[in-house]
Amino acid sequence: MSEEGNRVSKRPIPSTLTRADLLKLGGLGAAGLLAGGAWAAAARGGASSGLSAAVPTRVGRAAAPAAADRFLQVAATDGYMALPGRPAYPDPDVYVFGFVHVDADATVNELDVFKGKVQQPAPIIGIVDEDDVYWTMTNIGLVVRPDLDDSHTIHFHGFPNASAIFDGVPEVSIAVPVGRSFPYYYKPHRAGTFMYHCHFEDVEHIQMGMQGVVYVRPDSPYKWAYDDSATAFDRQFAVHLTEVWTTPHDNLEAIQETIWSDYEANYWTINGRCYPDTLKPNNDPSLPSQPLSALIQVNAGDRVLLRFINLGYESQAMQLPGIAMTVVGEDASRLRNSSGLGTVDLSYETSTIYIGPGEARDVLFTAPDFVSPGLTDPGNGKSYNRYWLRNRNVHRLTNDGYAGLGGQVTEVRVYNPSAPLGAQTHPNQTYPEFSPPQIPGTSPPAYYKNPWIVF
Amino acid sequence: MTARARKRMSTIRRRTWALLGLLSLVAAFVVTFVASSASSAPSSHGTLGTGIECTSGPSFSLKTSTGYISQPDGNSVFMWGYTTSTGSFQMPGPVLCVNEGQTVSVTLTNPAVGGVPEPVSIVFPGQSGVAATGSAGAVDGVFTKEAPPGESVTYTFTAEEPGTYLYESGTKPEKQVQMGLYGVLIVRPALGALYGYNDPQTRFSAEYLVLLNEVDPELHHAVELGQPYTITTRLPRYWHVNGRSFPDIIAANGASWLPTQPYGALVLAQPYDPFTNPLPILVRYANAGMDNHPFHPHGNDLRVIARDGRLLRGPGGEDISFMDFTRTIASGQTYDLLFRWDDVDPWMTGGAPVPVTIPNLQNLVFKDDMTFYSGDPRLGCKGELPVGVTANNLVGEYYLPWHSHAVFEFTNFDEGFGGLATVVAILPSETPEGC
Repeated sequence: MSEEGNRVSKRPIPSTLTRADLLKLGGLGAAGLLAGGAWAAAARGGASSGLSAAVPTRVGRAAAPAAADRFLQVAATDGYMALPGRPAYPDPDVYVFGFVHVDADATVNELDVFKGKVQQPAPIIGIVDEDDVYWTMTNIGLVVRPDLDDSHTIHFHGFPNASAIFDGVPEVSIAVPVGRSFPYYYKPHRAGTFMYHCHFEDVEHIQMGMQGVVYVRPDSPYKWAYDDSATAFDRQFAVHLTEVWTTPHDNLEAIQETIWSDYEANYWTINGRCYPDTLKPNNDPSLPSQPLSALIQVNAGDRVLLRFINLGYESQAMQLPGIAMTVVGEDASRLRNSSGLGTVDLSYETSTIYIGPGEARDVLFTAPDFVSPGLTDPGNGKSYNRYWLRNRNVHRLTNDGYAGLGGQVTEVRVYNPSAPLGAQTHPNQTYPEFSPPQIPGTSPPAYYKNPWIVF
Repeated sequence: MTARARKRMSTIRRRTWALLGLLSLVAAFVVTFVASSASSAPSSHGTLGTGIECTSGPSFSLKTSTGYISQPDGNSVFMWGYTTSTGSFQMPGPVLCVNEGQTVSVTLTNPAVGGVPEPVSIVFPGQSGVAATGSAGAVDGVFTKEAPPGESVTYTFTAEEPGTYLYESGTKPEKQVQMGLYGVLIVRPALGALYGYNDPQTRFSAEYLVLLNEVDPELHHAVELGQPYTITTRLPRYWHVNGRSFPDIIAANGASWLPTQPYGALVLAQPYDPFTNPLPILVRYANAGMDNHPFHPHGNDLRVIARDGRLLRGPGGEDISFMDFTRTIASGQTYDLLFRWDDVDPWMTGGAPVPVTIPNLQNLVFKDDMTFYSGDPRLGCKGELPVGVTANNLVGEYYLPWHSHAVFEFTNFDEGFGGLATVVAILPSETPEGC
């Protein structure tokens, strides 16, 4: 059967579809269901290999492809994240809100198991240009503050020309109360790196952690950032910058108000982690709420795409000393005049990515040659050269003033080609990486955390 | 009632006032434009009470004045400002409009009574060859010639380059610009007043000003009481677009209940159509504040066509404009941008039902029991809203905020959905079939 033949036909009202319906349509029978977008990928024809949420390739796709339907769901809840150096009082962990990935057709009554199991940041979501994306958000409530019946929304930041109902601003559309779902719908018409966040009481809910990366890849068999071979890459990494001002987090936990114009961040994170936690692999058991690594592991000579977003409230200046970076996209537009239609390439090489709140940059670099002997990676035994990706606003290289380097710092590790890393199968892959924690009693196994949902 | 609850009630009352103003603007637009044949774009929104209201040159007679502005949380703030020689206190200064090539003269008088009790001046960033001549008591300041109380200074220059520029105090700027001595100068190109620059691609159907500033009321209070002004204690609590904080900014120009804050910034747009609505909207950003502000428009990206009054052109004259969904406007910087809204999916034609089932609205939340939402996801369609929800939507238009993404600036002191923001209303060009 051709891949085209396996694709789920477009359905006008997906909220009436069940997962079983989809699998039947896909001709797959009882394929296993997993955390991740894997079931949807499975429905498209990757049943046996659907366990890993791998970036599907489009080799063999018809010349005039029909858009595919993509189904995903996130649930909004609360929990705690770890920040290095934080003293024991009032609490060593920090109270946060967030979005977690759940099965696309799970109903609210099936999501109790996720209550309080927050993830920081929200999962990376990778979708495909021109596909129909059915993105349900369910509000399963707050465990620590059950009295706080806050609604939530999804705002797909930078997504153009949406109907107001899908734009997620509660004052001009709707918000989703506890115990309810809303089916957001998006049909992207261009590739690039975007972001998403809650817009309900936005100054509070964004700071509390309801934020993540969403990117649109071109409908192409190739790993390109944009529909342009000059943006080809071997490996891609989300670099999600934000800050934590612990005062409102502690205030919320202690049922106190915050004066937001006092804003004064004291932690700065990449992918929800402060250095040195940034270096830990994906799904590290010591960081149960922060499964996404900020470590950048590449082979010498790789073309590497960094998808920078900044959802903090401060501008940052990220540098990668020793490796020149080329900015090829800004705010999900290829840096060409006339938004990609023109002839003037506006890409530029730089040593500093200056990025304001709500901005995105697509940055390419070529990993330099390996220089012997390098360091030995205790995780995988391979040898590598170390480069630092860090914020040149050096007063932010701290974890609230506690001793030692902290904040927005991570490593770029360039490995010896004589013992290279395997090909990347999902964004931000680390070598090795842990499996996410399994939800007890699920068979086939389902997982609490899924740092990336990629189609 | 606690102080906080009183403040909240005050905010809600104010929001209601702003909404009434907004609705009158949209209604006027609908009546005069949408309901007509829509065969031509509106030449100006000025008569409808939103958009840029020019004070035309090239000779201007300004004076300083002091007064109070009103904040949406019920606070009022003492300010210093520029106004016309016959006008009363206003914030910000008048929007000065001149034509490319004109010799511009701006006479600033600092009245001994009702003016600013210290020397004042104007500088014109982006203009070259500014000459200053003063009255007998005028003094040479650090940056330019200054007018002590009772004196005046005339500044002259040739408006050589079209574009958007600030004008602001050149005297103790850390104090006087914060106190409100700033405004915008627009230089219209030789090509015509409906163009941003001397390029046919910069023709617009309407233009809007987004003039940013931040306000620390403690500093203003110190000036009002004659106490020391200590800039190092600066902590902004309010953020302004055109001298108003959201939601006041969406009320009409000259709203009667904002007597010293005449300029609104509600943006009215309709879907792009190659025949009936081919022209974009020109948006002029200018940052008079001390902080950089990341401004994020919902609805669609804006095309950045000019920076600091210079069209973005490469060395060979090639177009190097680009699209952005957030533009960080540095302190003192200006940008010109083009906005259009495309009905790509399409939400308006009536032939494309939204491909999901919207849940029963009774099971969703309308914040503060009011909404701008029409009740129907399609542009131009209206649906039923739950009983008890105040409906602010007229003809199925979309409302989308444009706001600072340093989100603590998207507040009034401690209340969200305020401060550095405005709203764009996307109006249907006709009532689609099948609503």
